[in-house]
Amino acid sequence: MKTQFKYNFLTATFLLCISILSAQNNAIISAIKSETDRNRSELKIDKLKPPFFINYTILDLKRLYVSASEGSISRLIENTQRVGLSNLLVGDYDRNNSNFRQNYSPRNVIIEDDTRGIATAIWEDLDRTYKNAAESYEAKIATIAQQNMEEEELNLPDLEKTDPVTMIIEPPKINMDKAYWENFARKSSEILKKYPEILNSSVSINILDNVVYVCNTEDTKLVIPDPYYSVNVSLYTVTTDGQELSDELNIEHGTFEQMPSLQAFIDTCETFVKYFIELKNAPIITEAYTGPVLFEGMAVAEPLHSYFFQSTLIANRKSAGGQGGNNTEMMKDKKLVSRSLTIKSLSGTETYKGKKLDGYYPVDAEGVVPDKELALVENGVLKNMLNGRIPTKKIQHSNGHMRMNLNYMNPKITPGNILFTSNDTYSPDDLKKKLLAAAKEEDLDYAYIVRRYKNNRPLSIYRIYVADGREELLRGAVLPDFNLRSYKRMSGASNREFFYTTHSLGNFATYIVPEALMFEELEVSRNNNITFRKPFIVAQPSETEN
Amino acid sequence: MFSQTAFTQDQFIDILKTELNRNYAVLKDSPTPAYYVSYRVQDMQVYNVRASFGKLLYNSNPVQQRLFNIDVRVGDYEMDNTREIKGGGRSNDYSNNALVLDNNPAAIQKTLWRTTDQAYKDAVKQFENVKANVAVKVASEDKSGDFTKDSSEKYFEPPIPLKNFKFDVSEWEKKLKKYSEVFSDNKDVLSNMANLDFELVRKYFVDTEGREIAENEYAYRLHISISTTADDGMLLPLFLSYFAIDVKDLPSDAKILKDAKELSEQLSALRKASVAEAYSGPALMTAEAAGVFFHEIFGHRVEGARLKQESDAQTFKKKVGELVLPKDISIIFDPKLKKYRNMPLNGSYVFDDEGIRGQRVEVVKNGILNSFLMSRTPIENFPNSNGHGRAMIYFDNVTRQSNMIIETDSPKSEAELRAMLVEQAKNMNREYAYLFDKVSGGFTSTGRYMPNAFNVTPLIVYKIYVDGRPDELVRGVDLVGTPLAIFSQVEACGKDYGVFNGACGAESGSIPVSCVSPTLYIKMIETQKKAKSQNQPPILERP
Repeated sequence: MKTQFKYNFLTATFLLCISILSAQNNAIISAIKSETDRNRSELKIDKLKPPFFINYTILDLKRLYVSASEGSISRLIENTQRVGLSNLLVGDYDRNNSNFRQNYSPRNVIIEDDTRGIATAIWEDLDRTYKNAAESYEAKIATIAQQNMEEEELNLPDLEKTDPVTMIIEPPKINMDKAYWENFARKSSEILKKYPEILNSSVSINILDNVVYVCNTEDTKLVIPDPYYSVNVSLYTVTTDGQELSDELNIEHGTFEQMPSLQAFIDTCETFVKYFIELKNAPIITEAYTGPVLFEGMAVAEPLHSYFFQSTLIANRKSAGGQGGNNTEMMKDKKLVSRSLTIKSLSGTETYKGKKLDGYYPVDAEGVVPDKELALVENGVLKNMLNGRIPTKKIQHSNGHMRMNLNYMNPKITPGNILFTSNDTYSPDDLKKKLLAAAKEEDLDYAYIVRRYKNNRPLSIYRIYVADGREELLRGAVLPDFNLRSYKRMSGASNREFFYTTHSLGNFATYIVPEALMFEELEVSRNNNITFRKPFIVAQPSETEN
Repeated sequence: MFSQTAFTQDQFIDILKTELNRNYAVLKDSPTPAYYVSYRVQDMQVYNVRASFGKLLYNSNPVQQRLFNIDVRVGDYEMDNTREIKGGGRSNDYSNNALVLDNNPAAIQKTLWRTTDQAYKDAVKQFENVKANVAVKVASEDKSGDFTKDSSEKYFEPPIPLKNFKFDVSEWEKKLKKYSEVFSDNKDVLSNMANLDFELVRKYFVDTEGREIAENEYAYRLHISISTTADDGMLLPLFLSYFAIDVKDLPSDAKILKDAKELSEQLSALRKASVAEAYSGPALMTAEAAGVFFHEIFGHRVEGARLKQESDAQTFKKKVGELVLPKDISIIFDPKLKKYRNMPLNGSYVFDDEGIRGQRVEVVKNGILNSFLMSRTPIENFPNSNGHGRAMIYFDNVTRQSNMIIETDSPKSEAELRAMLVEQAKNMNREYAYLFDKVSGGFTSTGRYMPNAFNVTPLIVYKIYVDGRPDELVRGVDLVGTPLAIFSQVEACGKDYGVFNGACGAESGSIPVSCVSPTLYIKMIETQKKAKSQNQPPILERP
């Protein structure tokens, strides 16, 4: 009953948001609407069930990609395409073909706003999808009939009912000025050529003017812009002992106004390249270490993104075939991490303390509006997980996180905005003192600070000496025992907040995290998987010619 | 249009040469010396326009990229790092190396230097593997070396700016919409696409033997495809394909529209056509189908480097000087030809991807096997390249085909060929024989471990009845067989000539080739039922 009330309320709210459909919106939405309605009422194969639910999504994709190296353009791509994606279900809300041998595969749709042409692509797609779905439904029923499933699992509906939502948002103006971005790429990449230590560098810019159109047979209609701006600088070098180092810096936002100016980006590149050269000249780690470790800035947010939001806090219903499922949900209402930690989803929140949050979205790909605030972990105890409309045993309602995903070109449960807080906070100075004190207590001469962390490895790790607080950058380290369980033994967090945005899962996710986070005990050791290459045989061209 | 004799440097070649020579000067004196290095670059600008049922499907500005490939050889011409590892299979690793588009010496040289270093180290490692393999395996049957000694040339074509082509995207969008609109009225057509690629490629090649080459290639490729599903689930595709080097050589709009209408009608007829059964007996192949047939069953078996591999069946290796085809048939490969009998050819080039001038090779003269297609991988009795080392920029070169021309000294008229076909069918007590009119392509296996067979995939096939009934369109057969058996059955050629301009896929990627052939009469062929989808046709009518 609670859920029902909620969606009635939302319907009332969002009906107010309907704006007049533009010609483009009109053609796409009316093509989806007419074709999904026709297919739902007429698609039928003898003896098999007809579809009861069709959700059709069209992604309008406009892309500008520019890359440059040392002041010259290396790649330029500018294109427009549309893809369509169907989700057609046979059966009913309680039992249907979802979560069983289901695969989404996008198909090309014409880029002109022609209702018949768009409908033709949808028709072809739905015919194929219906045949698969009808067969899959029968197979699923047969599979379930041969299993001794738990009553609780058997009674779970296959698709949660929700009320329709209509939301038409006019797309914002996207800066796809090729000349501007070409100049941006040339100028910013040019400054890197003055560093001979950098053996390869590039700046790449990716601008996406995307709009997601969704219509379903529940009468949901969505037109949601999903713009994306990214500037990236990537660097490569080889140390004197032959270790290959590469790193990249990404700045990703949803509006042009949030992006750095050319000069600001050049300054960022200069700072980054100086750090990278310092890393190249840094000694390789030689001693094993077990003790307190402080994470700072993006190194706080990235592991959170990897360890919590790629599987742990993502609800996943076990399929009727027995695959999948996420056992973390069995920990619901139990302690998952340190009681000092709280994790909230703010996906429905546009701004936080005056700052625009890129991870905000008004509605997900299934027509569910995300909560403004949803506690996932409260004082260390698991309370909820991100979910779509397929209920799981413990997470039975959608919280609007089935988002249209550009990496996979299909909907995927991903985080929007995440607020990660600690009730054990300190000023930055006090936290550093606490780190050194903890190291001293363990009879260690130094502790570690991780400042860059990506793909489950520390890219930038500093040794901080107990005696004088001196810091020393090192390379070649790994944190072999750092994982989700490490969050059970926390020693405190900064009382300042840090904002971090990433698009690595195919959607914007913004993390608001403590500026620093201290783990009670982690192992730091040398990475034994590094292959050290022999020195270059021929001298670098710039050293001899230029 | 181009000055092809005077050699004029351009800045980019200078940059390539500078870095090549700088690296080679050091690598040739290294403990494991490099004896050869080459840089191959393709500066590509590609337009792509697509439409379906009268509406645009995709839109892009020209994609520009400058890709390169480096060949470093250590050892010597007799034995180097490229030698086949016996028992190790053959690998042709994909590499995607890009240079900046401007002639920025510092950026280009740094990338070339870095990649050359890695290529050299890989070559040294592989050479050690080769030496160990030679030591532990039995001696090769073919005692030839690993790299030919060929004379070097310098060749320069002035660059052509893209704007010279006046490629008008909006005009092509209108054309493709018009072509694809033809199929909107035919509800049998379930999917359709009209696709145009215009490609301008400037190819550069420099090596340590003194070759310096800059050559332009450009072409328009228009492809119109449609498909339907028969009631038994068989997917039936048909297509039109046009190729031209100059835009004026593409057919007029009226001709393309007429072809498209006929294609549409043909698809509807094919949908209702009966399914052919497995068959053995005589057959005619139209010129276009015969071209694909020869490309698959003959062309791949005269690619020289393949004949050196111990794993290859080497069908023709020991047959030089022997009669392999009827005495009136000759087969020529000629990359220099841009047109044959006014038909534009897709497999043309001046220099191959090893910097060797493409040469006319009379592989079969009056039925007798004369020669092979050669890259810089020598084989016994064929110590030199004839300019057939080809590869996509991502792969290393291997011997590949170019423009294949089948010629006959005693062409027969269509009526004569039909008469021969019917006569043979009657002699074999067949009710009908087959006419293969149009094919989509084919494939063949030239190895020893799998049957040395071929498969040609016809799209349009007719039954020709011996009792004079009208020809009947049928569907659902593939033409199969083994090479030597089928060659002995090739009996006569027609007077007409047709061309199949397509892309051939093999170890060194997809490369453009042409096959020109007259209609072919074969005394005995074999067909098998085509694999088909089990899906029903669409439940609802197309909107």
